[in-house]
Amino acid sequence: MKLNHPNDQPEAATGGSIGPAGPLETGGAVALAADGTPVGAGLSSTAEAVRKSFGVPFETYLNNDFSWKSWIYTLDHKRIALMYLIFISVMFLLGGWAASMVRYNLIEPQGMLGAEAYNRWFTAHGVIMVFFFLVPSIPAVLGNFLVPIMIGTRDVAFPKLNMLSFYLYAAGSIIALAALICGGIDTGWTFYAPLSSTYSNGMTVWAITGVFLAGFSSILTGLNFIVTIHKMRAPGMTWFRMPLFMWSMYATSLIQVLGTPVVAITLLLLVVEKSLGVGIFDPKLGGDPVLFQHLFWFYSHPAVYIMLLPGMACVSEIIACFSRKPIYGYKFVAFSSLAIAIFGFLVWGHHMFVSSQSPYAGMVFSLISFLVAIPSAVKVFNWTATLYKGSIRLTTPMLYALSFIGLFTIGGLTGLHLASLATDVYLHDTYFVIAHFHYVMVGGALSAYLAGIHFWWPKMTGKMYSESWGKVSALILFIGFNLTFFPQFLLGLWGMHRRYHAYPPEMQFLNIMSTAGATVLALGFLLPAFYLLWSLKYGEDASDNPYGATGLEWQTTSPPPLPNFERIPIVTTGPYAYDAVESERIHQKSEAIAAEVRARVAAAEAERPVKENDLV
Amino acid sequence: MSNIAVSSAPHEAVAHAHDHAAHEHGGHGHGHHGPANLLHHFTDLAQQRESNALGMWVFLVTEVMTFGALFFIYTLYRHLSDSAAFQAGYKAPFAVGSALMNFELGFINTLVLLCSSLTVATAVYVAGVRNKKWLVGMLALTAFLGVVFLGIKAVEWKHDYDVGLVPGLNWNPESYLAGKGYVLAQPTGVNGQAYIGDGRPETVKEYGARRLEEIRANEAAHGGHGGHGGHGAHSDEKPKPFQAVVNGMQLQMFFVIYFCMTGLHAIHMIIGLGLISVFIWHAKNGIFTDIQNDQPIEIFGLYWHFVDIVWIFLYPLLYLIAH
Repeated sequence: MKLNHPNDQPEAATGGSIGPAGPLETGGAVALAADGTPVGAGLSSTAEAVRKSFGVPFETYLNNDFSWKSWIYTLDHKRIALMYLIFISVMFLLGGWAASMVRYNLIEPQGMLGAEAYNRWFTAHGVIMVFFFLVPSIPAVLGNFLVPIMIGTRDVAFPKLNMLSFYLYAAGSIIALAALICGGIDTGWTFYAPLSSTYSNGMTVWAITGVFLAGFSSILTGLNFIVTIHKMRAPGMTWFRMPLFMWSMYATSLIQVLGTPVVAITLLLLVVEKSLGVGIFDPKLGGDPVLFQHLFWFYSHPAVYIMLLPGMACVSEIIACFSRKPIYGYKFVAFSSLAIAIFGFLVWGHHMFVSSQSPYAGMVFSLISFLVAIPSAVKVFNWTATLYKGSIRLTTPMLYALSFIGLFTIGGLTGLHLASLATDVYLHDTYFVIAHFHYVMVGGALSAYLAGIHFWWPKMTGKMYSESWGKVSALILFIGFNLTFFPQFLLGLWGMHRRYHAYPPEMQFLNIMSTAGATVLALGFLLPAFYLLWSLKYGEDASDNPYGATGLEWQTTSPPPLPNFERIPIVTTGPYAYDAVESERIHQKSEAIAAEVRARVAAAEAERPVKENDLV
Repeated sequence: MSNIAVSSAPHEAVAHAHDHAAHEHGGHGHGHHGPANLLHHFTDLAQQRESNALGMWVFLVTEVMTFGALFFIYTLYRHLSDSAAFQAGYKAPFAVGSALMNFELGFINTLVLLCSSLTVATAVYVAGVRNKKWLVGMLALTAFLGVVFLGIKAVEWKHDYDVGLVPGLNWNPESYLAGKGYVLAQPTGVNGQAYIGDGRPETVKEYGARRLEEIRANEAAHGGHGGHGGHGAHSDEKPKPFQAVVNGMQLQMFFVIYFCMTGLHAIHMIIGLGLISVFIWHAKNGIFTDIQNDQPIEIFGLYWHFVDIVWIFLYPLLYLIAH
């Protein structure tokens, strides 16, 4: 335990919490205050043992107050994260239900539901999943929970704004749900004008109001994170000592803050257009519908990075932890997040290659879209390099993270087909786009979200879920996902158009494959809901650091106390000290073996003289 | 060996570990330590002040993006309609719309807002030197100027509504435009639509002059009540001679953008006035001057200045481009 080389390089970081391969038993490194006493609630197994031996249930953010008011009025970022988790899970199940109706309709070539109902189901699926699940999922749940803990502070900079953000999201989702139930909308999640403002029948204004409120919630979350990351880092937590999770969250927050206001005002103008009958985007009244598309995609393309970057954030943490290696090329991964955020704002035109956009603009957008592949590939290569020669442990979060890498790579590479101008003219609005998008969003963002939920579940709830069920469901998800969406690549190449309730009969086989896959996929989503909830009551208590991970969040108790840390930590090294952790573990192990050998030699020596004496 | 050596931050030395009374308030107290206005999750006042200021600046960035989208729409439609009008021989619709604005009232409003910026800046200063009386006075003066601005704006909007210049609610500007010498083009265009004596299509100018005569004759025939309120506010003004033909659809677009921009600006003014009323109340109770916490005033000042700056851009773009 004498590996103290002060070093700012995250790759070569030293020290850290030292854990054996299994659950942390010996406590490993204990953060010590100046006077040598363990600090940070439950930082050490000693403190834990003392607590348990006295039978004192230690106070956490979950058990410090059980009244319903303490939840309704809570300003605690961890409780807000949990409330988000519940709301987002409900929205995800509803969105998934709508998806299952879409797949149900497509069993038969002429459609099972009819055009009118089908339009409403796929719109409901898109609106719920994009605006009420994917955009808030990781930032609002895991980000809210982890951002303050990972940088060693007590809360986000503006707890009241955080609370407001949650209630705006809740109000927005309820309004949008009400609109979807009372008649629904048939515009698709993109709300293209003048379809949405003039021709569509339904509750468009209410749905847009819901999305608008959720957008405000997203802005406030981003604002909070930016200020928190800039101003609230613990002493010694320099920018390059932050976990990569924080870099991705920072990039995400930048997009939320810069992009969301634009779509908010655009949707507001759409409401003005629809309710007053004036023509801002309506060509009949002198407006320009392509302008709506520009403004919409100015937000909504970067928005896919709002969904994806936090997923990459989770994966970076998990890959490093379960490879037992520092992340390869920390600074490259960190800056690639920012690069994705920046490039993300310059590529929106690739959604509009077949609109009336100028072909020269199309060429530029196409070129810049290719550039996004560079930082994305940097991430994938660096994760792979991190895995290389690592002591890989195939735990549940790791399985999800690995499936993220594979599926995201497929999704990303097919994105290049869509980014090239000529190919896109053929593939535009086909199922190829659907498959690409779902490979990135479900195979990517959602896998990463589940990876993150599994990884930090012990920290959030203090309970361990069933590892074997976790692995089974990760496997089911992977199989079901590929069965659902790979056929859609082929369907798209054959020319099956998205958003049509009917399709040519020769495409039925692949559509049935896809629907069958969706059934497996649904099982893969429902299983975690069951075993995670089960773990709350019957799961084993989680230790403070069940994976032997580095990072400040593992230095506090599971679940953390209300102020996160008993005392604000002082950080002296980078975030991924796994090499030191591992060499320490190997050192301990070899020490143990050496001790064992010495003991045996000693025992043998003790026996030998007797034998020699016998001989003499 | 440990990567995280933890020691107590200075203020924590006297901190109580858990304050159960505080927990009852939303489970979010950690006991007070340090200055009374230091929120528990900040380490010290400097961190709190910096966070608050940065928070407002980031918020202003989102506001820039919000208004920026509107300015972008303005730029695009002004460019599109100007070039379309030029090709058709019409007058640039944004210039016509701007000529219909009351730029004197807009000028007064600009002055009012600039003065309110001065009073807010003064308020920030007097809060810094803990002068309660002046602080309340300056905030009240700012609020008063804000109300004056909104009042003048309301007068302008009322006039626009009366003469039929509000798209969606009351769009019927023909007779008001005729009073100003402007004629709306037919949606299908004028060239080739009507013919004069020798079989030659009439020019835009001939069409405009003929149409203006028709409208005025029509109004005279319908008695002296001035038609659709067309001369309600300007009944004493003499009808101007023919000026130009303007595309009504594009003129309407100008007014849609005008109402969206000034409307969003007015919403921001109203939010600012709501904040300032609370702050006047707090200032009276000495919250900003007694406990050494004047930062809310400074941050409110940032917001107020931002709203002023938006108007500084709106005024020339909407009122002055015709002059």
